[in-house]
Amino acid sequence: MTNTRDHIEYHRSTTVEAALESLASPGAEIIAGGTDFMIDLRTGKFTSSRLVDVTGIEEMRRLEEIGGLVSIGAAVRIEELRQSELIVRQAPALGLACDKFAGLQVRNMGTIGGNVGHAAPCGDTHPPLILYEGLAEVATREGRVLRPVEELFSGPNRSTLKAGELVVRFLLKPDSGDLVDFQKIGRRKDLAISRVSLAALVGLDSSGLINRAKIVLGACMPITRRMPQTEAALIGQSPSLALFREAAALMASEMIAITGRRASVVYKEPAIQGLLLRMLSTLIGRAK
Amino acid sequence: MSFKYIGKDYTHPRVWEKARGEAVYAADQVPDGALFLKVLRAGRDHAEILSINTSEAEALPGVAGVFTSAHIPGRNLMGIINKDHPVLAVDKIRSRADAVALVAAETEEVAEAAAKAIKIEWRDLPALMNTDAALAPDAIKIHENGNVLFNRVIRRGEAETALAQAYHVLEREYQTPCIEHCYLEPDAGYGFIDDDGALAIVVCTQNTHYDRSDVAALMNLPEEKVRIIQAVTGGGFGSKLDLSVQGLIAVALYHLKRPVQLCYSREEAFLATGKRHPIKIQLTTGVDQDGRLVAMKARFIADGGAYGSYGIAVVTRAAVHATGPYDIPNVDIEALEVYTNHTFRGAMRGFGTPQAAFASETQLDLHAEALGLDPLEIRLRNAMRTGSVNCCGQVMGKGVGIIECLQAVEPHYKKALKEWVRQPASLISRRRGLGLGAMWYGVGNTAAQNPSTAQIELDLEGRLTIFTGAADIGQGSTLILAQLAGEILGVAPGRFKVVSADTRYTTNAGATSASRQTYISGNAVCLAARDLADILLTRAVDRLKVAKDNLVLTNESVCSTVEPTICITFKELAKSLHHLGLPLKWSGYFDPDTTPLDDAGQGRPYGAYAFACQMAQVEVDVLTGETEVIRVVAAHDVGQALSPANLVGQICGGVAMGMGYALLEEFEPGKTESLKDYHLVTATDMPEVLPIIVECPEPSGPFGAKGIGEPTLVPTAPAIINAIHMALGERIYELPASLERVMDICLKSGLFERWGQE
Repeated sequence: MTNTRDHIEYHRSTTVEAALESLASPGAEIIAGGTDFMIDLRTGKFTSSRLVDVTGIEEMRRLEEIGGLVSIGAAVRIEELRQSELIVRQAPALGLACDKFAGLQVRNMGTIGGNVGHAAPCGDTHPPLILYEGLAEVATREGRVLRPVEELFSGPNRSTLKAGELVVRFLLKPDSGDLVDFQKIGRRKDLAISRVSLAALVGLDSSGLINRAKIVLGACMPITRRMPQTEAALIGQSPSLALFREAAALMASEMIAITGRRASVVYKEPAIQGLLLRMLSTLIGRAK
Repeated sequence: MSFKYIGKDYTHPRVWEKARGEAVYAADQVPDGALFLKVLRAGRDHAEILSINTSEAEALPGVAGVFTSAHIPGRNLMGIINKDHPVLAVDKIRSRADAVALVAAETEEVAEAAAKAIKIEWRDLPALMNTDAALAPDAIKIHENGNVLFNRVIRRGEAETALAQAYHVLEREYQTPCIEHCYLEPDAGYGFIDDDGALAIVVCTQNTHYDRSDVAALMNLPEEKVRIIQAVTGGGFGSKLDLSVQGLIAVALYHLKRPVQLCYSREEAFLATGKRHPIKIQLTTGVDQDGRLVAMKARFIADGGAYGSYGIAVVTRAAVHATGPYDIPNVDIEALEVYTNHTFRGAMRGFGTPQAAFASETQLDLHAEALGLDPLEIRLRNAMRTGSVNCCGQVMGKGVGIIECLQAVEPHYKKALKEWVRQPASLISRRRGLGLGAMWYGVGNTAAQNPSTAQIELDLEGRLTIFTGAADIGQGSTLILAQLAGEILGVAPGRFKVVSADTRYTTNAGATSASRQTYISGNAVCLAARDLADILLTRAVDRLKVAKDNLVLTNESVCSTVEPTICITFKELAKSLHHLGLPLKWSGYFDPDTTPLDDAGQGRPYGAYAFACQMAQVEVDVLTGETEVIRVVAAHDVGQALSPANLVGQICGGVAMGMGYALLEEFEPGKTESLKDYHLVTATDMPEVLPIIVECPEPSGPFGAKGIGEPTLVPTAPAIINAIHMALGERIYELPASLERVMDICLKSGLFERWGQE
């Protein structure tokens, strides 16, 4: 095997404070599940000299409800989320994303913090985290701050998190609606990298009109984000195929305004529309 | 006919160790102190080598040797059919995978550093990366003889005339992708000097005896000074027919006289080993009013990459199998093997037949549609029968099981057509379709001698050993050969010791390829077993005073059928025969009845044929282009089932590989160079597979058996593509049917736009 390194220091911390100490030295990087690290090591992308393992930090392993929010430790494994009754109840779109996440071996190791930290545009937890208006609790040696998850991404595989910063947990606002869904398109069922992913939450009022809409598109743009024009086009309208086609077309133009017409857009332009239609059409004719 | 051991399931001796991860592969048993080898590859597509400077590399501490083509004492060319592939490049390189230099060092890190320290001066040449470029009149010659390696012509009847008079004629063009075998075990081996001074190489391989002959020629050694031992092999699918690490290990071992090892990473296995040929296929076919095929004109242009490997066999097989399992009186077929500057393409499960079947099975559905015929009906009308004359002019003998395969699928097809396809799919944007794919497959090498030899020995303790050169690469020949010998000798398969694929102890059985070991090595083992059985019976007559007709071999004894207590054990018979100076080791030899093909492709290419029909049921999402295979019914004529569980395993594996060919796989240099980006079908993608074993015995086969390895893959892709057509009403002409291609036809056909309005 190529690109193995002779000397990488390995620190396993049991408290956030100790981890931050270890991370303070130049060239230190966080390791959690290691599922991305293994690939980076093999391809030679990993060049750091110290690994700080955060999976032994009890605080980062907790999954609980606090003051009406869902608190997910950054070192909670994807498979734990997939099986969590709390997630099914309070943040089902995240549960659906975890269900479609990689394969079982990767889900058993990979963590939600790692999926966010790597900032891959196709990260499957990103759309639901943004859908539930997730906040990341970021710890530094100076203290802790809350930052919206969408602000952690600055581009493909580029995070706004700086060296020495550690995400301890995510706080999600439970939400429900008449439609809460996450779907992705991959080339196969397991171990599939999302070509397109979409999280949606839509609510209807008593007269059957759409009064709430959150649409988060993943894997298509440099970062995962909500699609505000698409959402606005749905609000106040009655669910219909015509409306959803219009919204889908709008979403495609919102995407292209950001990406331009790259080669992959030939597929993604219709596919994101198709996926949105497939999701929203379940609202048509639904009696209130 | 009832059998004692064949047709029954036994656990293959390696099943448990493989399942538990205990199997010892070549990379797991490298001797202590073995030097690490590292190959410096060209990394560019086409170039002249102006100079190679190895002095800096040689000076690094821990480097034991740096080798170039100058260190090769013999014929520096490999290739099982034509020899055109240097083990280490001489003067020029023809693909980025070409090995230019080889380093042996005490550690892997030093070997890598030394490889990087080798300085090469290049003069780049124009790279020809597709067949159009390679066939251009002014194209640079990749090899001295030009860029066309071979052209296989098959002509019979009057195709032009028949097409002109046909009721309905179709002309279509198809394209298939380059794909990688993705066997689980990357190529690996090690070498040491044997106790008799031979270069001994332990390696994963599909053919130890070919390896020995090319390595001996490479090192200018007599064959007995090279010993190839097959290690437990984690799959091959045709790729491990070529020399990978063998020649490189031999060069270093020869000069250093120290154990050496070379184990490819997955990335190197992707880069440097053979691939499936991409083939451009132009097909023109004509049918009469009843849908009977009257003529086929076919042109195959295969991109063979930089070296021949099995390419000549691939285009020959594509040409011979172009008709599919159908009776077509007039054919005009040409198949061209073209050099380009890609990593070489070679053998892969089916040798050109999967490519040809994709085209011909699509074409047949198109004819059926045009004539308003059912796809099953048009296949039944055209299917070969005993007495049919194939495109090579060979009269098909007994054991033509295509109609039986079609009939085996028929009830499932009719039921699915009536009940399943019209039901709404579980998600409303999905459409359902089902499709058929059929195939025939000549067992063994095409129109060439490809014998197998085997021995069976009874020792003085009454123990039995089978000696065979046949490499068991996971397909199960070790078990099959023991079952066959056991049936003849009345001995349970597990009682045989099988010594296989070690050139020191076994004789040539030919390659584990072309689905040939059951048929050819099986026959060789049967012949040896019959001779041994005969001498045991003859001796028993004398000892038991019972006529031969009243004797039976059972439980490692010969017993009277009249008075079962009258018995003599094999052990006693062995001693008795030995005392008389009679042989206890018997040989068998079998070579299928074939003849070479003449200039018009006429002759007798194979001694036996396998047949199959598969049906695929798919759901296609018109909004996203996603295709899910729901179920595959796979009927395979195997002649006689020897090991049913093994057949089921082969069928399920072939279907998985065929699904990848249909929907996912494409090797693109620079893009899909490891399993991270090259997508195989996973276990969760597998549909329900219903294997149906059809038995139309082949008179020349061992107990009527044929072969199964490759046929399982061939019909799957056409069945899936035909099913997609039924679902969408539009066709895919280029594999794989990726998300993008399926979405494209959903858009062009208006299905995407119209969805929800119907």
